[in-house]
Amino acid sequence: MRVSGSICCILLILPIVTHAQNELDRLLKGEIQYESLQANHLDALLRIYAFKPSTDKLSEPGELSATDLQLSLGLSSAVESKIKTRSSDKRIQQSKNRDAFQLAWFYYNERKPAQALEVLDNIEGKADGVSLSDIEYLRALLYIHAGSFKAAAKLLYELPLIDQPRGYTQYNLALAQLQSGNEERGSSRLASLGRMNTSDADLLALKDMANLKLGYRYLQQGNLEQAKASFDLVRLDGPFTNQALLGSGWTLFSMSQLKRAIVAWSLLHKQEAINDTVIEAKMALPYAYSKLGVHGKAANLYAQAVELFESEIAHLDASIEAIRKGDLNQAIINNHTTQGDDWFIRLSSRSEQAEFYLPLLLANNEFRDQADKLSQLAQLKNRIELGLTSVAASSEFARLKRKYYGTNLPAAEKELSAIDQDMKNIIPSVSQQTDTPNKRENMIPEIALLQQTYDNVLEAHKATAEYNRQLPEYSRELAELATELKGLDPKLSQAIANTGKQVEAIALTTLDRKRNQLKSYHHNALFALAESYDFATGNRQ
Amino acid sequence: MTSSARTISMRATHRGHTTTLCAGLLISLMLTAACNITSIEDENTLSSLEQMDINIQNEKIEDSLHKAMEPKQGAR
Repeated sequence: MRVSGSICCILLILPIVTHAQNELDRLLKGEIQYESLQANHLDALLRIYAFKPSTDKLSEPGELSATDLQLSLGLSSAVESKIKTRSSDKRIQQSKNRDAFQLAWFYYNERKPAQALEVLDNIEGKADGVSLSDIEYLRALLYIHAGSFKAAAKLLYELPLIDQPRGYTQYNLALAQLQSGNEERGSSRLASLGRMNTSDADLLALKDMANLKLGYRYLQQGNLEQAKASFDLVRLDGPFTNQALLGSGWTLFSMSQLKRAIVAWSLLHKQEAINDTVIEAKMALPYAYSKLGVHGKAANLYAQAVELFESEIAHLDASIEAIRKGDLNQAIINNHTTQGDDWFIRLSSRSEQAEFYLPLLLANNEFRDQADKLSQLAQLKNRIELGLTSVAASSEFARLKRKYYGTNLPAAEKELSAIDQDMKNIIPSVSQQTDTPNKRENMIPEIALLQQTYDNVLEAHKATAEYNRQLPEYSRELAELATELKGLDPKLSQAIANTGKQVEAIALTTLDRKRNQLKSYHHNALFALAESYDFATGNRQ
Repeated sequence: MTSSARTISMRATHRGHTTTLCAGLLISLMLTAACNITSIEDENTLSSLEQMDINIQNEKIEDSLHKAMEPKQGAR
């Protein structure tokens, strides 16, 4: 009877406990997710470590795990050591395999295909929440990056249709086939991708990309009709419109349809944004006019191009000078308060900042990596500085408390002894009246309340005294923490300086290359201008 | 109802169902095709540039350009 009673009790309590635990886990997961979305990966990771007992339930497939956060912080070696040893427990090993898969993606994104392949090759057996197709798809992408196109094409071809990540597999397969020399299959696959009917924004962009790729491929091969047909399928309001307009213009130009080429290039020419495609159109459009014998128009357009190139070169010079002075690094460092990983969005939207050609710089992976690192280091330095302020405030608080307790505790103790004596005097007389000495349940309610209050005061006093006794130890620990944090500062400053130098060097090389390119365009535009001017003014026939 | 009459009746019902199904399928196919055609036609692609007319006209050389070219002409 007693056993069944206990079981009933447990069964009744269990849902309540489980519910509370689930609630706690849910809150914890939310907190971790929040910190991670704010790009405070370290805080998110510390939350996971702090709540270690319940973290088992956190690493369900699809949820943020310690591995996710470690990799977000670039701590690949921590994950490496985690997966190094094999476990005899099947569940643990499957979880390790998932970590290995995540690590392989990390290396893929870091453009380290050899390391990623090594990690993938070491995966034996099933991985939590990861299918074999997922692994093979990643392996194929790594083969593409490593230049093993034939092997990549084979793997992608054999992937079950159902597991293929939408159109991307088809696109990557087509690229692998083209790169491995299988022109016919690659082109036909790109063509079928370029004709798919979809309303999905991502797939529409992929469709445009397939048509663009195919268009340029046909143009290079001299298949002009096919090139035109492919460019014609690219949307006018998509991410690849400019490149398609440029390619379409050259195709029509090669087909001697100069007027139609002028239509395509005019759309590009009138754009304000200065990028490679628009710059090429600035030269291509007057060239087409000059070929039609419309030299006056061509000369005016060349003159506009010369002016634009000169102003752009001057702008680039100013940016190069500002970067040499360290303004770009300072802007990234000062931007440390930006929430999230996309620090550059806020930086590029700041009107008071000098123009650093961020879109051009961010297209360079190496720059992006180093600038990300600089931003993270600056954020860390800021966190440490804030931490030092907090430690100083806590130390001051502890000092004030010690002072306060030092003054007031002796007096409070004296007062308590007096009250204690008074209580002893009162309670025996009450006990005699109730015949049961010191039994609170038999006391007069007012006296019981007094006794309870007194007991509470005694407890609080004990705790305060204990706290006061430990205050010097807290102060010592705080001082140690402050010393450790201060010790990190020079190392961090050095790392920021080194990374800053790299950011600066890459940015200068990129902008210098751009400057040389514009110089070359400027030079050509001057010659073309002189020629068109001569034709227009009748100096040349 | 005799057994053969029941079979005829069942066949008739079956044929009726088949006709309804076929008609439904045909309508849905036609609707899908119509939607597809509409979506392709509605898509704002580079092919629509074919409809754009352009008037190619020569221009007078701008005065500023004449001025800019003068010293270069003199230098020649």
